[in-house]
Amino acid sequence: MRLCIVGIGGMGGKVAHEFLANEDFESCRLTKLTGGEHVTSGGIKGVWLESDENEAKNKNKFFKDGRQNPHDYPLYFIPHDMVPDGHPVHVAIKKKYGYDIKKQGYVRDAQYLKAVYEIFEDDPEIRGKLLDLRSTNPIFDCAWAAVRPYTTLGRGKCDGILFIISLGGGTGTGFVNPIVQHIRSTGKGDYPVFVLGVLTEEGTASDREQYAKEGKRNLGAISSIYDLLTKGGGVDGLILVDNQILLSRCEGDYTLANRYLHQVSLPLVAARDYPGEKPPSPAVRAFSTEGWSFPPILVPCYSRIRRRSGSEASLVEEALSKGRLFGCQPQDADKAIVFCRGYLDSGKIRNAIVGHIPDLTADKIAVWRKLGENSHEELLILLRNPYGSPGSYQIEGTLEWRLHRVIASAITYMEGHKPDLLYIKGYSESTQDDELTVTDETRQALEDFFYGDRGLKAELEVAMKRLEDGTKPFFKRPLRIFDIPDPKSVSPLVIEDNKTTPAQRAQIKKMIQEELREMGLKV
Amino acid sequence: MNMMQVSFLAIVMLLLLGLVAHILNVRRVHRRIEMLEHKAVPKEELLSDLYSCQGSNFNALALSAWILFLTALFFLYLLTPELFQDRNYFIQLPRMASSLGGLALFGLLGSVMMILVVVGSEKMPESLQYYRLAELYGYYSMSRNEKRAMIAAIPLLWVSILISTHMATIHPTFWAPEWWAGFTLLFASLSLLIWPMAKEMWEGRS
Repeated sequence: MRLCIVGIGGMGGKVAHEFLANEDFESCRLTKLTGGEHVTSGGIKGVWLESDENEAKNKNKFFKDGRQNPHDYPLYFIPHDMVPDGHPVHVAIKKKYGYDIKKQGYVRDAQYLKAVYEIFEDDPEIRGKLLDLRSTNPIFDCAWAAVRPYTTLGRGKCDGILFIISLGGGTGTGFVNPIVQHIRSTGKGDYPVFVLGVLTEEGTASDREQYAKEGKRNLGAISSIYDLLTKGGGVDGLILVDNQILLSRCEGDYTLANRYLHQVSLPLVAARDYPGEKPPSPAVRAFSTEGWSFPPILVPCYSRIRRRSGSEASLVEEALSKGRLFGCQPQDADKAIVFCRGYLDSGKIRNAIVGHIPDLTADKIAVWRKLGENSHEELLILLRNPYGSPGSYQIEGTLEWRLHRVIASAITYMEGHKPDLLYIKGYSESTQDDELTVTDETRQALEDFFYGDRGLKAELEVAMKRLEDGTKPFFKRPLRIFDIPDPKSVSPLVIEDNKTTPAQRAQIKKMIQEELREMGLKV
Repeated sequence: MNMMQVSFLAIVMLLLLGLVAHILNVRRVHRRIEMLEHKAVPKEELLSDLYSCQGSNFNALALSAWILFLTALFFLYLLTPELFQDRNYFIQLPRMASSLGGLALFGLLGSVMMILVVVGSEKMPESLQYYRLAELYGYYSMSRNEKRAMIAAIPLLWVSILISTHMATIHPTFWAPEWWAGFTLLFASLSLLIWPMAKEMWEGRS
């Protein structure tokens, strides 16, 4: 498994830096002599996608500007640079929808980039203005062009992608879904794509760090998670990490937390696999998605203990009890993907996991081992969908509890901030925010998206109910902001009553009933 | 046996410790993996999976350190007759010793010998690839700080060479503390060079 690490946004860039730091002795003169390449653990490669020029140019010293010299490494890219200022498409989107696609740092609204992606994908009028850019979706094409060369789809060696984002409502939150959709839409349906999303902590502690208040952050986070989990053929696994847990282990230090995240990932990305146990990313993808039609949630549980013989049981115990990086109930998991480093017996690891999660049979546990340091042994268990017990949403430390609270907070925000979400004049409370003026058409689309009968708020309410009942999955129906009719693809469905057979009628009836049930209505 | 002979023996012992540690480490990993896999694992397969690139810059510096090490060893023990009274630079190679670039040539001789060892080790068959000096450290997990510490052997060895050169210049005057300083630096450098093997052997003992 050789992953391409793609950090998106501020936090994604900082964590990607930890992954991509050169492990070789750094010296420019010596490198000229030896032709030395950038060496990383496990041969991983990566890139940083950012939207804020100031952040990328002035505050970052690690990533180099991909536009200046594409042969440098590692690079950062600012995808919206692809569209020049004042380009007809920039003007047309501003005029028709009100969105400024060149806005620095992107608007810290969950739906902003989702809307931009949909406009590029679906609006023939906008696409018609893109001819000179040789791209139908320039922002996301440019982002993909920055990543692709490192992957086996380009000329690289990475057989999978791991996006690292903060689910704090900024660039990472907004960008990850469109870019994943874009990769998929270019025909790479089975290329392994995983997302590591860090949910920001509760309370006001990270308001400054994330430039957004808790309710807004939570709406951004849940909106992004919603899209990640409902897009069939989207990501192959959403690895959820709770920053609250991360910071509690790192004494509240964000830099230490980023390093810890890298350390936790070493069993996954490092080299020195056991002979015959070098899983290609497609194998991990296949195991992760098998038997589940939606993108799964993966909760990482990590442990690291001093080496001693027969430590498998202790490692598993430690990982599942104290090592969860997101609240969950391990016994609800339907699969376990294990990566470990050290002299460990895979049979003993399986037995130890079954001891904690009796419902998991051996074929539901995959173990991949590597050699690590001699002094310590490490274990990373990715539990698939470790939730789904009725009433668990009331128990602190469960996935249901955490997400129920995030959803509730997002709904409260939506109820109290309608003018903000619809960009009604005078909405901005903060002096930081430049007000956006969207068109009436966009405002109507946003109103339907957020507050419509089948809009986000309604879906979130249904999801809360599902979490309360312990239903898997809790997000089901993909949502769109715009319903832009494409003249080429419109084909009205006509059911002629006198031509339908009883079997067809029964089938249609069943489909409607299922749909109504999904909406939470009694049938 | 005088103290100098003891010191030489200590260097040889340390060198052997490094070699033995390396052999034992590879054997131990092989044995443990076979035990955990419950089957025989071909050594070549294990070695190729075990190997991870430490970087060209590091490899170049580590090789330079080994080459300098032999040069420093030559300078400390073979330049003046304190240890080997009949076998040293002044007695064996008097013409070279009295020439203008004699000292440099002598140093070069040590370097060339070590380069031959490096090149020779590259010719090892696949089953003995872990003896190749250029790949030696690829079988160990090394952090950036450990690499930096190891590369510190290069300046230490240069200082040791300078000390030996000074002693050759003032010969037959002999100032013991200066010689011991040169030895200490040489010993410390060798310790740094074999540190990854020794550490692995110690940490993986149980």
